[in-house]
Parts: sequence; C-alpha cells; structure tokens
Amino acid sequence: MKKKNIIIVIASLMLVASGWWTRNWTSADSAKTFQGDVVSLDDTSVTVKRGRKELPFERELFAENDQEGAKEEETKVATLAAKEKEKEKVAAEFAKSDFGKSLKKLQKLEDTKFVDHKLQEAPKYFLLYFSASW
Amino acid sequence: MIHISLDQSSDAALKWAESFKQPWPIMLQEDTDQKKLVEPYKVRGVPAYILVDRNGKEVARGKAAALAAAKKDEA
Repeated sequence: MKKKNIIIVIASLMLVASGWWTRNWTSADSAKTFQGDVVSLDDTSVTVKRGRKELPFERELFAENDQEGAKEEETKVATLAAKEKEKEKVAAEFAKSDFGKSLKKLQKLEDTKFVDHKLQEAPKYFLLYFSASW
Repeated sequence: MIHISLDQSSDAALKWAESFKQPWPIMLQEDTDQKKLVEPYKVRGVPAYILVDRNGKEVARGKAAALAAAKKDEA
C-alpha cells in the first residue's frame, strides 16, 4: 500500500473511531432512509456499513443534504491526512537533525527494566530534565 | 519530557526511575553524547529543567519558566 493511501486510511479510521461518520441516509427521492456508518468514500461513491454489510452507493443516489455531508467528511479526511503527512515529514526531518540524532538511544521504563524507546513524533518543544539519583 | 540521566550507572538510574515509575523517556549517561546533549546547556546543578525547540535551541530555563513558555505557546 502506498504511503499516501496509508495516511488516508489512518485518517479515515480516526474519523470512524470518533463516531463522526454515523448518519441517517436519505435517498434522493426521499422515499427511503437508513442509518449507517461511512466506511470509505471517493469522488463519486460512498460505502456505508449497515449491520455487518458494507454497501457501496453512488453519491447521487442520496439526498442533496447527504451528498453535502459526504463532501464535508471527505474534506475532514483530507485535512486529517494532510496533518498526518506533515507530522511524518517533521518527524523524518527531526530524526535526521543533530538534536534528533542525539536522542536516538532513548530508553523507557517497562516494569523493572529499561527498553529501547523511539519517538513517534517530533513535538515543537522538548522539556529536558537533567537529574541524578545522588 | 526527556530525562537526561547524569547517573554514572544505569542501575542507579533504573532504581531511581523505578522508585516513582517514571513514565517519560530517559537518556542514560552511557548513551548520551555529552558534547551535544549536556555541555551546550551548561547545566550547573540538578535537577535542571530546560525547554528546547525541536532543533535543540534553548527556549527557557528552570521548571517554572519552562512550563510557562510551553503553556504560552499552546495558548
């Protein structure tokens, strides 16, 4: 899977996990409605999960309001994906920097021993705490 | 927060970390490049708190000042 796709999937999962994607869907002629969670979407279609089934629909089959909702969700996914991508870029640049390299051998306490620890992100600031037990 | 341990032995650092279940990452002295991670910050006593940006540039020194600077940036 390409990196871009992975980022979009992660962003989608974050939105699904947040529960933003459950909505009542109405057909374009207003004759039918159902509740379902968006699993994925692209420019023209949306896949909705109803119970255990995942059903793909053309977006135009839904009421205008739902189509707008799908667009909004798509924008949210794109925004989250862009943020994730930026975070990855910053983390990669940080890992190559002198300061990043100097923090390469981090450890973290796990139960009764130290184990190797890798920073997953590069925060804007680090609070360095210099200390000794003596 | 990154703990830069100045303990001579990792056993001492481990005992100390265990005593309060230290949740944050630590650089043990044996793994620390003193010239890059200790000397530039001119630490004269412990404990010492120094807030740095992701380039390692000092932003604030001292617990209160460091936390205040971090909070100010968040706002």
